[in-house]
Amino acid sequence: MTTAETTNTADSPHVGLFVTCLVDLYRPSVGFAAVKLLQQAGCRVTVPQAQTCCGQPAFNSGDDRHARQLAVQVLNAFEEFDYIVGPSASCLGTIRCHYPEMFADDTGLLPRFEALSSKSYELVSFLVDVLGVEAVEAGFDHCVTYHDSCSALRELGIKSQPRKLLASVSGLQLNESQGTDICCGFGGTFCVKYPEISGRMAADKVASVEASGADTLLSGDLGCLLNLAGKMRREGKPTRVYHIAEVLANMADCKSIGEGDD
Amino acid sequence: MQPHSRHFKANAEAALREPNLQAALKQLELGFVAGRQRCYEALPEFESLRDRAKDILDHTLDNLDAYLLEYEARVIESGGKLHWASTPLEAREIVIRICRDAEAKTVIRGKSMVGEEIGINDALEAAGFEVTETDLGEYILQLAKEPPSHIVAPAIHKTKDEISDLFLEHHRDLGFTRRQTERSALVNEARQVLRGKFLAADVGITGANFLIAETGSNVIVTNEGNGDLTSTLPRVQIVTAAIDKVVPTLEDASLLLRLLARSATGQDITAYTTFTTGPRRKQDADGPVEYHVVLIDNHRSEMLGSELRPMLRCIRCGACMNHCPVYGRIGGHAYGWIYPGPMGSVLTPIMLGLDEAGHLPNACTLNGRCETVCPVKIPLPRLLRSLRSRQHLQRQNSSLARVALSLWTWVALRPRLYQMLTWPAMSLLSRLGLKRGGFRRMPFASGWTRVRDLPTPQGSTFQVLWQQQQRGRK
Amino acid sequence: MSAAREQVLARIRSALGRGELGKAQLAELRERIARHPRQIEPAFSEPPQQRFRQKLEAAEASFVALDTLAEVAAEVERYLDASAAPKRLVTSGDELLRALEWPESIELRVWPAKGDDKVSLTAAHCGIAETGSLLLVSGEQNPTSLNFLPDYHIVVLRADQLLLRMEDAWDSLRASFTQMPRTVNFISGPSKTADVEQTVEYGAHGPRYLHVILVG
Repeated sequence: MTTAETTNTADSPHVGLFVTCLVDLYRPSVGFAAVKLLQQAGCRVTVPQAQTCCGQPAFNSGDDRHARQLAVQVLNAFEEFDYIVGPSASCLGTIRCHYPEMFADDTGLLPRFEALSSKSYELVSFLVDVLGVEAVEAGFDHCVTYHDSCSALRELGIKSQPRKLLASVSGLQLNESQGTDICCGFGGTFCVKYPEISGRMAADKVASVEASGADTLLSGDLGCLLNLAGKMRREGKPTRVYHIAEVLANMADCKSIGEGDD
Repeated sequence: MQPHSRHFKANAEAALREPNLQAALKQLELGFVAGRQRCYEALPEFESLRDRAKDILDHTLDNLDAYLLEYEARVIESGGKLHWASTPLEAREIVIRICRDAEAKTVIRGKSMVGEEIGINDALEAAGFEVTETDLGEYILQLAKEPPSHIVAPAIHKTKDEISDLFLEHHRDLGFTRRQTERSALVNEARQVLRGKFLAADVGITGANFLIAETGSNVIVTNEGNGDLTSTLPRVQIVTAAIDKVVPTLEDASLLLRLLARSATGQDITAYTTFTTGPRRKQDADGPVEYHVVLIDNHRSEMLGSELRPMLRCIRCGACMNHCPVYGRIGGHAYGWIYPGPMGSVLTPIMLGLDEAGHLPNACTLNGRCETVCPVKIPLPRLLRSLRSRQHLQRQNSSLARVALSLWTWVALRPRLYQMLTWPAMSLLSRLGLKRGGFRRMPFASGWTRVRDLPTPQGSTFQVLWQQQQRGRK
Repeated sequence: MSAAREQVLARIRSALGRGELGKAQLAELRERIARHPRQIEPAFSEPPQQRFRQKLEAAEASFVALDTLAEVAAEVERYLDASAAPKRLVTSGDELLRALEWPESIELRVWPAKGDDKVSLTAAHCGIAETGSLLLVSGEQNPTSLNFLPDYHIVVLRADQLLLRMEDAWDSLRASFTQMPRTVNFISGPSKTADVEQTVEYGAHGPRYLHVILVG
C-alpha cells in the first residue's frame, strides 16, 4: 500500500482521512478542505490509497456479503491510525454504527471493527468534540442555511458542532430553515428507485431553504448536497451550494455545486 | 381488503398529484408531530419511560406463552371465553360462529387494526350480518368503501366536503336531507345516526390496545367513547386481539399508557381509557352477557423467532408514520394495505409476503426519524434493512440493481483499478457538463435526472490530485 | 382445547427456542404478577387538586370544588341552569348520591340510562391528579351506560378520593374489590373527535360536556 502523507509533528494525532467515494469522484475540493482543517487543528493526516467505498450502498440494499467485503477493506486500510475521519456523516455513520452490527456474529473480526468504530468520526464533530476546536480562520460574506443530514443528526448526534464553527466564520450569517430534522429525499438508491417521492421531498426542502432567506446552502454530506443542488438547478433557483468543509477551510472560492459558467 | 402493495410506485405517484391529500398531510407536522413534541418537552421522564417500556415488552415477549396462558386463565375465571386463531381465516370463522350462535343480526365495531387485518367486516357482511363501524373516521371510510390511510386517524385523507357529500348520500333516507358543511354539524349528524346503531346492535366487536395477564382485562383507549358504547350496549362483546397485545400487569399497562397517547396524538391521555374484564356480573346493571376474546397469531409467532422480533413491541401509536417523510408525501393508501408507513413497511411484507409488498422496505430513505420517536424503541430502519437482505438472498430485488451493485463492489475492492477507471470517467463527465454546471439528462441515471439535474463533477478525482500534489512536494 | 391454541403455543415456544417454561420460571412470572411492581411514575410539583383541575379544564371539562355534600344538589341545579340543560337527571344508585336531597325543581330517575337521556349524575370511585382523570367502576348501582349515553355527564368525587396516579387507583381497586369490576373507566374529559380534517370537535359519541364536582 502506498500512502501519501503530510506532516504536522510526530506526536500529533495521526488521522487516516476517509475521503468517501462521492468526494473523491465528484468534489475533490472537499477532500482538500478536510485535509486543511485537520492539519490546522494539529493532526498528522494520511490518505490511504487502498480506499474506495465504505460499502453503504450494498449494505442498504441488503447485499450484506459485498458490504462486509468492503468493510474489511476499510478496516485493513485504516485500523493502524489513531482516528479515521471523513467529510460525511453518512459514510462515517456506516463505519461507526453499522460495521459492528454487520460483524456481530464474527468473533474474530468484531473486536477489530469495534475498535475501528470507536475511533471513527465525521469531520466537523471530530474537530469540535475530539480536538476541541472552537473557531476557524475563514471568511464567507453570505447568508447561509445549514441542512442537517439524517445520519449526522440521528446516527452520530451532530447538530451543534457545525453551527458552532460556522458562527466563527467572519461575515457569515446563519438563517435556520424550517424542518431541519426532515430528510431531503436523497436516501442513497432510494432517490433513483422512487424519483417522484424523492423529488417531492427535495422540492419541499428547497422551498424551506428559499424561505429562510439564505443565499447559500451548506451541509456536511455530499449525497444530500448533490440531490439539493440538482433540484435547485432544475427549478432555476439561484441558491449556491457548498460542503461545510469548504467554507470552514476558507476554500469556498471555487464554483459551487452544480454552478455553470454563466 | 384486496391488497395492492405491489403497485406502490403507481399508487405513490398518484398520491403526489392529489391536492386534497397533500393538504391533509401537511397538517400532520402541525398537528400530531408538534403535539408529540410538546408532550415530550413537558415530560422529563419521557426517555426513561421509553427504555422501561422496551424492557417490559421484551420481558413479555420472552415469556409470551406463559403470559398468554395466565391471561387466558383470568379471562375464563371472569366468565369470558377465549378463542385462539392461527390465521385470519380461522379468526373470521370464530367471529362469525359467535355471531350466529348469538342469533345476531346487527354488529357494531369499535376501531381495531387487527379487525382490519383479518378482514372482519367483509366476512361478516358476506355472512349476512349488518355491520357498522362506529369510530367516526372508520364510519366515514365504511360509507366511502375505502380502507384506512392512517392507523390512528383512518380518514385523515378525507376533506370536509367529501364527508358532507357522503353523509348526504347515505343519510338522506334516514331523514337527514340537508347537506351539512360545518364540522360540528357533521359530527353531530354521525352521532345521531350511530346512536341508533349502538342501541340496536346485538354484537359489539372491539380491538384491544392491551390485554392484561394479571386480570384478564382488555384495554381500549378512545377519544370518542365509541369503544365504550360498543363494549357496553350490545348483549355480546367480542374482542379481537393479536397475541402481542398482552402485558403482565395493570402497572405495566399504566406505563405504556403514559407513552401511547402522547406519541399518537400529543395528548397526555385520551378522553376514555377503559379496562373491561369478562361479561357483566350477575348483579351488574348493564353490560354484555357474553364476552369473547379471539386471540390471533397471523405470522406474529414467526416474527418472534426472527430478527424482526422487536416489531412485536409495537403499540400502534402511529408516531412512525406521522414523522415519516415518505408517508408525509404519499399518505397511507399508497402502501396498498391497512398498515402504512414505517411500521407497515415491516408488517405488510411479513403478513402478505415480499412478493406482494416488496416495494415497502425499499421505499424508505433510512433517515431514522421514526426510530427516534418510537415510544417502544423499535429499530425500524434496521428491520427494514433486514427485509432488504431477505429480498437480496431470495433474489427478489431487481436484477439490474444486483448486477450494478456486484459490479460496483468488484471495482471498489480493487482500488488501483477503481482509480484508473474513475478518473477518466469523471474527467469526461466534467468536460461535458462544465459550461452548464449540470445535466438535465443522463443515460443510466434517468431515475436521478427525471426530477433533478445531475450536477457536474469538478473534473479530476481527489486521489489523483492528491497524489500529484504529494509528488510535487517531494 | 382447540388445535389452534396448541399450534400457536408451540410456534411461540419454538420461536423462543425452548419448550414449556419450568415450574420455577413460571413461579417467578406469577410472583412478578402478584407483586405487580410499579414502573416509572413521573413527578409533578403542583398540589394534586390544582393539577387535577388544570388537566380537566385543559381537556374542556368544567370543575367546581364544594365544601360539603349538602351543596351538591344546588350546584347541579346551578350548572343545569347555566347550561340551559333540562332538569331531568338519571343518576346511579351510588351510596354517595343516594344521600343527597333534591329540590322539587329537579326530576330524578335512578338508572339505567336510555338513548335519549340528556343528563346523568354519577359518583367516581376515585380521581387521578396526574392526568385529571375520573375512575368510574361498573357494579350493581353503577351502570356504565350512564357515563356515555347522556349529553351532560356530572360526576361527584370526594376530595379524599383524589389520588396521585393510575397506580394508586389500582391499589385502591385491589383493596375495594376481590375481582376487577367488569368495567373500569378512566374518564379524562368530554367525548371528542378529530376525524374531520384533524380538527377537534366535542361530543362525538359520548357526553358533550363533563362537569366535575369535588366535595370536601
